[in-house]
Amino acid sequence: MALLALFCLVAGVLWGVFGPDLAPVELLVNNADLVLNLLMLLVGVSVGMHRGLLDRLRQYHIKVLIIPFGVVAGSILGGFAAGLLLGLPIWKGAAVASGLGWYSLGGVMLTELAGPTLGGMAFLSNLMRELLSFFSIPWISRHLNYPACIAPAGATSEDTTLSMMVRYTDEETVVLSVFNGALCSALVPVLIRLCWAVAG
Amino acid sequence: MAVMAVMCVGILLGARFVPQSWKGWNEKAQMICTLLLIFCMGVQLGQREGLADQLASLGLGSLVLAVLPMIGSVLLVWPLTRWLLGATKNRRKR
Repeated sequence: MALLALFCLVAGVLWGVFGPDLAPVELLVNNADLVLNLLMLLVGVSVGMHRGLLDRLRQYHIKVLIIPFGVVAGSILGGFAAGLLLGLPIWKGAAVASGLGWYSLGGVMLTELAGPTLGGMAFLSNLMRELLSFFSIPWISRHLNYPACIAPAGATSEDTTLSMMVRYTDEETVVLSVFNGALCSALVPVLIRLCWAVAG
Repeated sequence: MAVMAVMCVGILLGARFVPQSWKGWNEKAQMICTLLLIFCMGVQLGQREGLADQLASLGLGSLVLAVLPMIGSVLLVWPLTRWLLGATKNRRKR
């Protein structure tokens, strides 16, 4: 599956760079949201078919916040470390890391706040995060545990990388993944502005 | 939020109306949707102007800013979920 995914990614990039403007492809790309919604429906059906799952999730109560907490705190600490390594102020590193993989919003916000260079880094780094997490999920699933697969994905765990969760984890983790993605997505603009304000 | 609403509709359908015998077809359909989404992501990336130039000039710093937050997240989530959720490596696979 990972190889198929890589193939589709490369094929898509090559099509985007060199390919003709074919109506079916344009239609697909312009309506990717519909495909995502269909995937979500099908994932929901899988979850619904799993008897007893929702009862188990209800038992988590406040523990459902463990993963988003870990994602946010770990990302910001990682942003500090990256800032130190690159000679950037640590809170600017944290601001970039606060994109949590949401490359379009992260790039746009940092461009607005800091200019095109840091905005470009925010776009690229969060894009790389999404792509790298995509391909790290199989390894993490085998060698760590299922919830840890959600960590590198960050805010993308409710859409793009969700498909990998479906393939490499279980229904319980998929539901936690959607919840994490939704919460992280809501936090991204808040975290970026907060980190930038502290950076001064 | 709309994504969660759609998922909830799916959960209801799966719990009440979809027969268990459709599980295999459901999984195949998910895989197809997944691969189509990845292809779309690739096309959008490829169509983005200046991507190659950006990669050349900002690539290494961006990579560091990608990898360290990822590692930080995993290093926190993994032990916390082992300790507080009992999530070990040997979970039953689907």
